[in-house]
Amino acid sequence: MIEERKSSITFSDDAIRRFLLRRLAAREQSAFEQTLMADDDLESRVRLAEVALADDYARGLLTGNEERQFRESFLVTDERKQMLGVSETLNRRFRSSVESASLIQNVKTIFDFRQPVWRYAFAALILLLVFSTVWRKIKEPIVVGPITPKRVVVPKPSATQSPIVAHHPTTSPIPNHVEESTSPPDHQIATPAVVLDGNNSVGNPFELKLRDGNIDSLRAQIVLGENHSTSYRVELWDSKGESLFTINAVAARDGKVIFDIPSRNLSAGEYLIRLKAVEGFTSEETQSYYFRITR
Amino acid sequence: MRATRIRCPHQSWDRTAGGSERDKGPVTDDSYSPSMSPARKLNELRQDDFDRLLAWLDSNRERAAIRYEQIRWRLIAILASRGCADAEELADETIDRVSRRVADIQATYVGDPAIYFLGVMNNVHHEYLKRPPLPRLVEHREDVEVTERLHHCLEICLSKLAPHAREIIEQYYAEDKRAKINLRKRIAAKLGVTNSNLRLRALRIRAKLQQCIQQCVEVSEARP
Repeated sequence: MIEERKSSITFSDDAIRRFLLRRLAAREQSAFEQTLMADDDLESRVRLAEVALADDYARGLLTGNEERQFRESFLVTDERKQMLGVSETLNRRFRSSVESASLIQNVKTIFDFRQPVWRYAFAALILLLVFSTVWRKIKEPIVVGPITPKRVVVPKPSATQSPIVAHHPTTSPIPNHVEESTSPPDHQIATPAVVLDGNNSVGNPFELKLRDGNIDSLRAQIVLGENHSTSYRVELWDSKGESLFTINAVAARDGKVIFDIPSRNLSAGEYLIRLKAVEGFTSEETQSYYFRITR
Repeated sequence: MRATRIRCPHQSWDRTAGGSERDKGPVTDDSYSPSMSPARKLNELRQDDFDRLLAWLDSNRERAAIRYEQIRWRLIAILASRGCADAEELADETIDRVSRRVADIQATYVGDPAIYFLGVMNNVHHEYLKRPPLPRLVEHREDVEVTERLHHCLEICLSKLAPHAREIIEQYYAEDKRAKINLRKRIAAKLGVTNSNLRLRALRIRAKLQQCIQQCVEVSEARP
């Protein structure tokens, strides 16, 4: 909500939270930005709201939708990520200390002997002891016989031949087990490969897990759509926007473009392959394919 | 304070600074060359540009430094709220462009310099939207050393809090409702404040704690 007050525009705490979670309407967003750049008071309130939002997320007080927006829209700077780390640490630290302090407090409250209820309890206990003593004196206990019956000892049977000897003759020879040794199969070391098509967008990259160790190259196979060109320029980019590898022209065969990427260009991370159809002397129709390497 | 480094992953520009300008809102980059270079280039903010920028913000260098940080923080907050994953880099890019124009506009510019920054930031943002989306960086798990450093700095900063401030923070993070209510009543009564004011105080203490921890982490990272 926006309220007009004198000559300045003020924003509610809810509007500030919506700003941080990218939920302000376009008109509100523009007015908010203009005011934020010029108003120190609004800046202070936004800084406090950042902290409050991080704390609420750490304590699980946001709705499912807000949590998603928090992760996607709020946690985009290192400062905010550190802020969340502090919130989570503080939350863990004080939650346990307050819980234990609360428990101790509760126990102390229960066992506060100055309270009247404890006097009544002691009085009742003393009366109970007195009555039970009197009751026992009045009703003499009847002497009972021994509780445990006489034990009947059964004679132990005499030793006989060992059952192993009786049932398993010792004259027959021990059978020989013959094992056939087999040699382990040879393992072929295959070149790792990424197979990409039009579905491998930035939100759905192809995932390739590499074992630790050196590989010479990575084979890339890109499945083209219908009406594809006969030749493409290939560019490999990393997630920092650096160009790692370029091939000026790769021929397309059977609807695919296949090429090898030298391993020196590769480490764990996300990569982009751009294909540009080469028609004559100009590059047109750029297509992008994303893949991710993990180790 | 450090000079900012600017990265331009997909664009290179080579333009002369324009003429004098007034506070009329968004600024157009008429002399900007639209040609795209696939190679990444680095532009460093020169010291004289940076000094000129500070002088434009305020004649007192210390106040100018505070103003600079304020403006940078506000630009980052706005860019983040517009959905920019590279909010810090775009904010530095904005400051870089403004600093290179200060020599031409400072004599004639009328109004709050912060609004000029906003206009340049809008252009930077529009250019950012035209770039193809790059794959998002793989998120690294927080390593043990970073967590330990954070814990260590937290303990140091908590020990610096006054007792009543410590109590306020405790009640703010109390998970158990009964404990929280009991603590809050006790603290509010002791300080003579209402519950809503108590929450505001807790947030301010928390924000100061954040600053203390940030400084402590930076100092411990700088140590060999």
